Amino acid sequence: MRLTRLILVLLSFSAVVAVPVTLSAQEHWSFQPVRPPSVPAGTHPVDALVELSLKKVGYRALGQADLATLVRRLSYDLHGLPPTPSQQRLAAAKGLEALTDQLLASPHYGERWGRHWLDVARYADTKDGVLMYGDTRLRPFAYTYRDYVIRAFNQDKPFDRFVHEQLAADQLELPADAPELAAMGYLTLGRMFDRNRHDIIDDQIDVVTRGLLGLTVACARCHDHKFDPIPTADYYSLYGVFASSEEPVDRPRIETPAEAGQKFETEHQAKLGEVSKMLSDQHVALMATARSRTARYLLKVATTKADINETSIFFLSLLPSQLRPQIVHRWRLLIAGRSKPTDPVFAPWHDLITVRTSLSQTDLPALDDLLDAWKTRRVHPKLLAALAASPPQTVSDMAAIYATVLLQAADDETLPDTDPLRAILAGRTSPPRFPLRQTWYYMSRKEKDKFRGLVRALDLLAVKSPHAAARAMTLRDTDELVSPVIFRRGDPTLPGRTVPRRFLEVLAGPRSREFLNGSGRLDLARAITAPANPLTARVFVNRVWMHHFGEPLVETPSDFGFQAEQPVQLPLLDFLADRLVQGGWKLKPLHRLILSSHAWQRTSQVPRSQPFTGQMEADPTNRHLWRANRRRLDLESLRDTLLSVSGQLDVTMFGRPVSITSPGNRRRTVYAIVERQNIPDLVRNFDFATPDCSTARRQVTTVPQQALFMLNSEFVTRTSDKLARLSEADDPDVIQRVARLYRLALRREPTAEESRLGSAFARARGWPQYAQVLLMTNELMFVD
Amino acid sequence: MTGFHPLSTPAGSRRHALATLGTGLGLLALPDLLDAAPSALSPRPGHHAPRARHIIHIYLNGGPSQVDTWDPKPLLDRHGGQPIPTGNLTTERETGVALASPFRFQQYGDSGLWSSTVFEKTASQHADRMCVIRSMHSNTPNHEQSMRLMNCGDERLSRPSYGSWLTYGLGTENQNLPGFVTLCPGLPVADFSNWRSAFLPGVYQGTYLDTRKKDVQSLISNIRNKSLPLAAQRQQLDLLAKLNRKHRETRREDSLLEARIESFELAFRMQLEATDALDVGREPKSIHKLYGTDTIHGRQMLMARRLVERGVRVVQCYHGDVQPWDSHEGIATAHAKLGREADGPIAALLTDLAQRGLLEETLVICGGEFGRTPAVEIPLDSKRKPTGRDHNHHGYTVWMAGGGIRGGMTYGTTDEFGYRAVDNKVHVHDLHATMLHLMGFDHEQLTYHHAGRDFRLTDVHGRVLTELLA
Repeated sequence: MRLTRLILVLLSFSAVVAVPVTLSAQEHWSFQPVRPPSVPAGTHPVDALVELSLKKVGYRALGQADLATLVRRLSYDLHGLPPTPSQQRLAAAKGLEALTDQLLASPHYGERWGRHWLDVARYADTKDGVLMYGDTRLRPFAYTYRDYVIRAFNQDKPFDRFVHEQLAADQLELPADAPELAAMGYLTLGRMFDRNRHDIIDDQIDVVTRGLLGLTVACARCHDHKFDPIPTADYYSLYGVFASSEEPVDRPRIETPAEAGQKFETEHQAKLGEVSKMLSDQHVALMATARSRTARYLLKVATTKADINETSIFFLSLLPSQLRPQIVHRWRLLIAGRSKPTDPVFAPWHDLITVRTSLSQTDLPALDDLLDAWKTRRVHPKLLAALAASPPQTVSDMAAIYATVLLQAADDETLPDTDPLRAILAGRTSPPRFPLRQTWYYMSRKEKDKFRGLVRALDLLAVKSPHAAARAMTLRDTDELVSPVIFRRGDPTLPGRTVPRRFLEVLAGPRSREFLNGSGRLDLARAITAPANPLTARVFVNRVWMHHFGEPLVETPSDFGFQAEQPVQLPLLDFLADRLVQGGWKLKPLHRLILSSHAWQRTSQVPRSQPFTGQMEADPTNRHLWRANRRRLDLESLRDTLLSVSGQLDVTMFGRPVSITSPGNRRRTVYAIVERQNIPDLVRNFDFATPDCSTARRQVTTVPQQALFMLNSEFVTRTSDKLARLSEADDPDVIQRVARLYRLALRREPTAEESRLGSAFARARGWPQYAQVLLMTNELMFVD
Repeated sequence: MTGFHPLSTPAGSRRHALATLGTGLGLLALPDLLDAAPSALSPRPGHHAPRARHIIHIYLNGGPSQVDTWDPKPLLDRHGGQPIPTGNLTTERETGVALASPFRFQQYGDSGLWSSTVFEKTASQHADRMCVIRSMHSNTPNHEQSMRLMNCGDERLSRPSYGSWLTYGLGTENQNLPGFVTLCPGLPVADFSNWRSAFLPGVYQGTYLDTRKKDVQSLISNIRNKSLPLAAQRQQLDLLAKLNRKHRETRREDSLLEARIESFELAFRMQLEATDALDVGREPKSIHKLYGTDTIHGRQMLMARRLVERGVRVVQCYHGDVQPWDSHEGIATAHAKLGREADGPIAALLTDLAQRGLLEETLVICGGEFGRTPAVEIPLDSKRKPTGRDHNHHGYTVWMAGGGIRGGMTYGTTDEFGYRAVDNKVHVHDLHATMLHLMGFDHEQLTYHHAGRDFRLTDVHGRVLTELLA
């Protein structure tokens, strides 16, 4: 009988085939603890694990690539630059490992690997949205984050520390001018979303959870995550962390100003003073005005429906006489929560105002025996007295009586703070109160424009002062911490239950503890790097693997949720994740391990014979790691290569960014201005990571615009001229010059046929045109 | 990855591409089946047979007033100077009494379509081709957000523009031209975010052309080599091809190598065709006269026609820099002037498209990001006289013509004063759903997997306005 019933139930379910199988979190591979496999002693652990997976499918691996190929591959892998002749000689004399050590010790390493991290961090140098009144598009100190990241990689800063600094450097008890403060650019350099706070916080949640945990928590903004075990409560727990954090107007200086920078410091202090003064003046004035308009606010709440302007639109052009929509909203929330027959303050409001059938009904019924009823229900005596003294005839009267009584109670110092009447306007949650840093949202249009003008002047001054000492774009905790409430359907006008600021339930367990330190950013950072958290190390080593091999082990590097299938190489992933943590979260030893493996050193040239053609068909993305993946140079490697082979590369590190299209810019591409809105064609056409949001992995597209750049741009024309000139020598022999060009551009000797073709072409068309052809070759653009 | 598929996610694998396609376009992953990888811009079919192959969006940026153009309100005129009895709605600024329309309205065509003098030419010549939607509405009375909503389906978040979605879905017919082109003398508010590709590959972003520039070659970057003639480049390309083919001999399995070889040939041809497409100088005198190419607006419309004629999917023509239709003050003179600039060229475009048989396959859309308040705006400076209208997202007008649209009709209504859309309301999402439908897509199925979920232009909204379809 029971069995039959069970079958019936199963049948009725199977009729709805689309019902997704709900896994419990523990069943999904990525939420399970990292389980490093044991590896036979005396073997290379990476190869031992790859070998196992190859055996399983019966694949044959390709052999090792030749040394020249490996040297070039290694140089691009670690530096994003072609190998220099001395590096080629070092590898020939002392082997690949010696070259690996040299490359890892060079500062170019951080420029390459730091840039990979900047993709995740959706780093940009510019503001987005509408720049009004000649605002500068540059965020003057964004570059300090880029420099911090490059240094962190060069220093091999442990990854856990790297995470802590990026989320909470302000809470690590660092010196006030510590350069590490710049790490918080990870949170502060996102898009501005027309100053919509909810969206700014959403972006912070996204960059933290996808970037560090491989979880798409932002999907839980409006409803529980469709696939993953992430309820909206988790989203708003994190929302509370970032809502309790703010950017200070005065950014901390992180280097000692040079002599030339003193003038800036003086002017900066003066302008900062103006900004701070206007901010606090407006803060005081606007709150006082709002308080004095209590009757109008109450009337507004009583006679109108909630409007989207009150919660989600932050830049209406308000006249001084107008009510502030967000304050209207807070009054609505307060009254919605308190308007009950039993409330000591809002019971009369409930009985007379809330119960009306229409908002437009302005006349109120006579009080009659209501006064007695309220007395029994313990309505506040002062309110009762006022209502009895002049019984309200209209909604407007009622609002006026309430306003008078509330204001009097708030001003009456003799009343205890716990007095329910006094608490409304004197308490911390008083609707006319708002945080200082948010004053701009409440200003009238004229003041808003003036204030923005002052802030703009502050930024402009920094942008125009090349000697200004660096400042960090930090966060700090707000004076009053936010207890987050769930916004139902993601709509701030529909507040639901309050949730604690704490870590994700799926990782911390149902008894996830509330964060105790201020906003909780540091608690969050520690939870992310806690040894028991199975995601962070896996996610990071997967990114590292992707940059070494061109393909990650887990195909969706920023999404390890239920949609991410268990990777073929899970034991390898776990081995590497464990190795990272056991090695004190240091990355360079991991590089050495991976780069010394056969897996990394295989050839990318697939013979046109079995079993390889079959393997190519069956495993085109090389998930079994039986060959090396050929890779195309990305934007940075291409541009840096062109500068490098033509002898133009300026290796100056760090500092203010320079436009990528500026003809004088010969620095590495990582130092070019990263635009968020007006992305230069060059950058866009070569598949740069869109800095709108965290990039898991770049696209690879092939479009004619890339070819047009190589054919026609002034940059490539100039580079071809320089390269041609560099190949000049006293020896006029054409064959020799072709050889020199091959060595410069492609780092090898030409074949006899190439010499013949090259000398014929150069004689007919000239050396610059010939040099350009070499720069356009697939050989230069791809790394075997 | 060994093959790029235009519709794959960054993860890019064959398996992932197939999964995306299974729920998406229903195309098979071509790159792994073909020897050469197709370009991300290769033409491909949509979900169903399209009614339109191109879109020309005439963008009256700034927000034209519905009650002064296509939505006459006699009651508003009667109440001029008095409070609006049904009350004012919240908009960006404080508003006051009813402001009667300074423009005369008249009916046109067999259909008796109403229009004011602002668009007299367009209405008198094309009324029976037009479908005027009077019940548009959106979410916010601010330009930036409303511009992005109209273009990208979201106010603030980084979402691809509809032109990018369509280029992603359809590729481009003419490989020598971009699939999506934006024309504007200067830049509209929210500038590049209006035609962004966001999380779609960068190649789907709109190609922006500043039509203040008259020199064709400066319109597209790198379209010509400043010092090398084409013949010299041909020789370079011949040598390059030889070297690349030799290089490829031992690397035949890699289709990206071949794709890049091919892209140089494409680029070479593009140099000729792209400049030709934008060169209005090649048109006969009669056409110049028709459009009035002595103005930017006339030139832009003519460029738009030349582009769709050559297979460009989506052309947007913005009226001007920043937000020209934003008549907060002096709307009587401002709208009259703007109408004089826009009206003739729009009428000419419709005439020309129809004569060439292009109108049937080209969806023409005209409107702003929102409308304007029937009530007068109270100036921020109290010394100035109230003579303009504020932004109004509660109700406004957009019209369409051509590609699959029924002509000679109005759809939806605003209230008696023209404040708020009341009947047959059309949200921007519905407009997008309809545009995608006409171009051959089910708006719920044109998706892209990003950051953990499938995204679409219409998010969770949108209704195809079947009532408007021919």
